[in-house]
Amino acid sequence: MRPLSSMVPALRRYFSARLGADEEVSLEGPQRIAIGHSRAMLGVAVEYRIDGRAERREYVLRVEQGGVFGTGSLHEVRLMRALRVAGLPVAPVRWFERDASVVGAPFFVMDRIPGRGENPSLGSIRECVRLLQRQHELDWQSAGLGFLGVPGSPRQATLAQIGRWECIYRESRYLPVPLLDEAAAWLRQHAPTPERIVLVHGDPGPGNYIYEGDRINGITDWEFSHLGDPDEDWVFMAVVRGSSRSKEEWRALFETEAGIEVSDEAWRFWDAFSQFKGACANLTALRLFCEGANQAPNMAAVGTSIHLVLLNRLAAIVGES
Amino acid sequence: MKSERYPTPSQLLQSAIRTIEEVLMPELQTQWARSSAMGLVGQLRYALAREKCDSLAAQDAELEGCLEGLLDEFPELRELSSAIEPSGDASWDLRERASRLLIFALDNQAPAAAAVRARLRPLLTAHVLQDLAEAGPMLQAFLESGSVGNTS
Repeated sequence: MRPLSSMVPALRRYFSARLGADEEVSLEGPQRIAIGHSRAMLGVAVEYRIDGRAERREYVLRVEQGGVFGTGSLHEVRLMRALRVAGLPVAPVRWFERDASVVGAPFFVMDRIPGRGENPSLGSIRECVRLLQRQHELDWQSAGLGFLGVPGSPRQATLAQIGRWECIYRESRYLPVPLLDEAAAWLRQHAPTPERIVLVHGDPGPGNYIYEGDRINGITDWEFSHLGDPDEDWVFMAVVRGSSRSKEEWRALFETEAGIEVSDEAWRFWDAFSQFKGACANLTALRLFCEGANQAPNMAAVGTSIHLVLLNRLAAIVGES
Repeated sequence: MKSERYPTPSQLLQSAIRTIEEVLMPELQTQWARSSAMGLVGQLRYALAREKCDSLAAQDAELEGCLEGLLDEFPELRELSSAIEPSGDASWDLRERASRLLIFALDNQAPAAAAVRARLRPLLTAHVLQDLAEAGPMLQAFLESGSVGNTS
């Protein structure tokens, strides 16, 4: 991504064309609005005239960062559009831009929704649990989500996810990580067969929604979504996104808000999977940092210390078996 | 103590850390700029720690010693260990051999598998903890900068 100040002329031209403005738009920003690692999130306010009438719009640009965590935007854009039609709280996506000449990388533009993401209220966390249950109950076939890749069988859905992240690890590593190789084999041995296949968010929970009071206005960060086992989301929410609360607190929330119980065995498996996925994904940040594609300090931290924290936790779970 | 004509890399890194913390950070206005500056300080402290020792060479020596000990005691492990294609990179090959042995030992009750779990696994997890301690300043900066919870 190019430095923010150098993006302004190209962004003014971009929004003028997209909005059909009478003359070139004026722009406030762009400003970095969240500490995203897989994507840079830029806020802009656009003022323009159309047919002589004055308008103002606030948008968020979600900009790719060279393939951090092994994901791209197209999948996310298609999914967000489908989910909005299906009635889930998701920001309207206006445009997807593959041309890297505008800001230095592909991006998409969505409406800026009111609210905040940090320090979520307990009421919003309860709402997040209820919305996750609603997401899992969505009829993904009717919603046209087959493009996410329909697994050949329920068990195949879980094995495909293990393979996906193992592949990303192998493509990104500078040296083999024996504890990750061991974990991939352990996960294959212990993979449960899901009772049903649902739309899995892949990174749900605190920090990945926008809220006001107890109300969630938008669920964000859909780049890891796929069709799979709903327990993946429940456990990921508890052990990664919500790690400041205890397992018991999360289990009580899942039961009271969504009537969901996750067995001890499934919890252990998906806890291990969540650490494995994070440890593998974080190696993409290390490679981008070392190769100079993205040398922001958070990339170095994610690729080394956060990777090691997850690897350590993963090794402990596998070692307990 | 060895004399130096010019500042050492450690002194330069220390200077960069102090300048960022004392001069630049108080002037920064946005959350992204502040968290980037904090991350940079963590990164420079990590660079200072890395200046002092070559942990990869020491870990390779320990790993090689552990693998050789296991292969001497349990010759049946040799076939597994020698099945890897040499890469020309000794560190890479050592870890490939370690991976093979760990996978062999999963859910395996043989004495050789038990020895792998008892000796190789603890060594590898100790290396993770060593690396984590070395990278500790970056982790601390990451947590303090408000990046925690923003893993995506």
